[in-house]
Amino acid sequence: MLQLLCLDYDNRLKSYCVTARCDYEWYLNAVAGAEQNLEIQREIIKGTRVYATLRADLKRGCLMPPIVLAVKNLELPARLADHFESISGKETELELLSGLSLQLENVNSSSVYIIDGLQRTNALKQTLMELPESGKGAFLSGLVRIEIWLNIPFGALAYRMLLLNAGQKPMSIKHQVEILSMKLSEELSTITGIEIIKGSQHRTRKGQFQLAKLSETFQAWLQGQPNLDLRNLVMEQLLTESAIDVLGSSLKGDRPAQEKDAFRSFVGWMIAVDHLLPESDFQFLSNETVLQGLGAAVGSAERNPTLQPRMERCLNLLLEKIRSEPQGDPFGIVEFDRLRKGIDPAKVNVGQATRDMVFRAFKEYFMNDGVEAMSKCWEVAAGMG
Amino acid sequence: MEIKLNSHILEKLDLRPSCTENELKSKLDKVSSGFLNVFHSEASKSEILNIAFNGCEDKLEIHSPIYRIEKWCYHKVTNNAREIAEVVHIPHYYTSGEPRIQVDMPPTEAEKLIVKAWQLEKEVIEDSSTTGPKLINNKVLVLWKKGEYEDLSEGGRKVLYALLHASGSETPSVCKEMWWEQWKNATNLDLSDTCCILDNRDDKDLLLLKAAFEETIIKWRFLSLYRILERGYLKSILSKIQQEFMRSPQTTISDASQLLSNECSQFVGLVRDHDLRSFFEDFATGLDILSSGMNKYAIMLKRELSEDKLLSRQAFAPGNKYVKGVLLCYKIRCSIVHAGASHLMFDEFSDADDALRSLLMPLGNAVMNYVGIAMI
Repeated sequence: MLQLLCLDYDNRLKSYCVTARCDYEWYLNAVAGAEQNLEIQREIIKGTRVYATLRADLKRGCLMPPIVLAVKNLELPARLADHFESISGKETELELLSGLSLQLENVNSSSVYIIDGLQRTNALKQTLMELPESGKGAFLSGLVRIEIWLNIPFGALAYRMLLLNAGQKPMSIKHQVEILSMKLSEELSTITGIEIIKGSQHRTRKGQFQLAKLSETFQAWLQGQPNLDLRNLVMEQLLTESAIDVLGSSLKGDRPAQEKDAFRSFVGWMIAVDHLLPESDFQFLSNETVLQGLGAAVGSAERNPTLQPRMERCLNLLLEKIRSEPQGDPFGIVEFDRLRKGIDPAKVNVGQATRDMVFRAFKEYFMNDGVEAMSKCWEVAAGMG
Repeated sequence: MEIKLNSHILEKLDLRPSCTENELKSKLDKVSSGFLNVFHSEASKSEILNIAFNGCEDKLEIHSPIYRIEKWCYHKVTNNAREIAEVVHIPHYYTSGEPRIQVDMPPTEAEKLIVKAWQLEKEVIEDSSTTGPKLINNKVLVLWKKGEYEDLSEGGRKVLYALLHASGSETPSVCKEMWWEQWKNATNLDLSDTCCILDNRDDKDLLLLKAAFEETIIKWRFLSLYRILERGYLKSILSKIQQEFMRSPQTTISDASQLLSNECSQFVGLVRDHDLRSFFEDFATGLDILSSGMNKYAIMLKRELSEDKLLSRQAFAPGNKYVKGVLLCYKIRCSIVHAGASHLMFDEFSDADDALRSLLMPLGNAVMNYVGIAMI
């Protein structure tokens, strides 16, 4: 099935483009082998976890973003072929579309190029192969939205593709989290007792948190490791994949509804703790190194089925302890301060070393299921540095 | 209050020259970690504010290191508690056209130094058309505290550069390993009050030290280091005479003439008087390891020592391991210097260079200690 929806003219590329939707069956026939048509396409990335996730989503009936195709050797209606003009009036558009419909429906795959959507096409093909015969029919009736560029010249094709690929240059996790920060602020602002502050405002009351610090904590939580300044592209890719897993598993459906956002639950816990900590420990949770180390430890446990329940028990245990005995220092903050002051600024970056120590201490606490006190975990963490 | 940051910093932070304190603080709040490879933690931002209010009157030198640096390295040069200079080795973290190499964040003190260096020299941040502006790569920054650069002689500074591997001629690869070995754990190069780098009245010591650190051939470097101790023999005897002559003239002169009659005794005396014994115990251990590993040169040195009845009695006496080290060091010196039949000849052994590679370290440490340079 191929259904042409509208026809538009690109004045920059001097080409026509049809917007359409089709089922997977038509699409896969039309693009059979199309990835070989254009030498300048990137190699298909095989076996990455991101595309494994996409395949799983396809099986669950996800709707993909539109794919962009180019078709050559079309016999365009005379008024399109001879002179380029804007399409005015719905009737003209429908008339032109119907003139193209038959040709496009029966297009030969050797005339089709994939401009944007090679990986998605590959994911579709692999998904089809993974399905049992009985499930293939239903899968092939799934719909995909497409753009079809008609007889687009190579120069224009290459230009559009390079432009798209340049635009696709992977954004760093940091950049993406920055873009998400306003949405994050909106999401977290409904937590009882939180007051999100921005810009150069300083924390003066319990419950106040800088948006920038929360955003960095979110990044550390997503990555499951405390170093935010990632300089290794392979590491960045691995962490992105891992972050997608964590976010995917926190979507509604995989978790009880009340816990659908694991990060929000974690921030809720932080706010509760912040309000219960004695005045003398007011700075503990406003320290960005503590927030990032703690966020990373919780995020890291979040993706480990064994550690995840332990981490939740441990966070609850700490909350209960601070609630029942606010002066009892269940977080071992005295020990934390003592060890932090022992870090040599001439040998290491104090911020990084502190963040790593916090990360290791909380991981240690989760690992031993809260049996050893935090003060002991700080010592273990400092010894590992 | 007037902001004392130089215009090239304000420009990179996208601030006007007449910006206010609040504008600067607000901008710094937005600077993300890793920006220009200068900002990694709050330390660099605090240092920017410190300079903005107080300025910076230090003096900066940028050197190209002798070796490609793989890790951040930070050292202070001090005389007792007085800070003379700070030094940071910026590692090689990129090659044009290649992805950045993962390196750790700089030590906090290095991060602060870089900000001061940037205030003093625009070129600390280089503009590249491919990667954009960023911190210079594979360089050594030496930041002299106000007035300290001028207080040192040129020779003194050159020795310091060599010690810091900030510049100078390339040394044998073994020296690189030695250097890393010593430096990876040290953060402070402390010069004693009498160190010839600070006090160049005895410019011959400084000359010998400079020559030793500039020497590239391993046997000559060994000999150059030895010469510093050799010169120390006479100075040590003279100083002993000056100290003790009035109290006990006859014994002092008799002891001195006995020492003067025998170079080995002078060497042993120097090592004992300056408490360099542990270094020469290490030296003896190093030679034992070499000979048990079938290093022919080491085996022959030990044999020569044991065949010398007079020396071997001293060398192998219980509790005298350092004497053994001193005498073996002396034997090496002779094997390099002499070409006659009465001594081993260094050049006859194909594994002699290998032996010196592991013995340069204890000798170098002894010399550093002797001239008043401590790595802490």
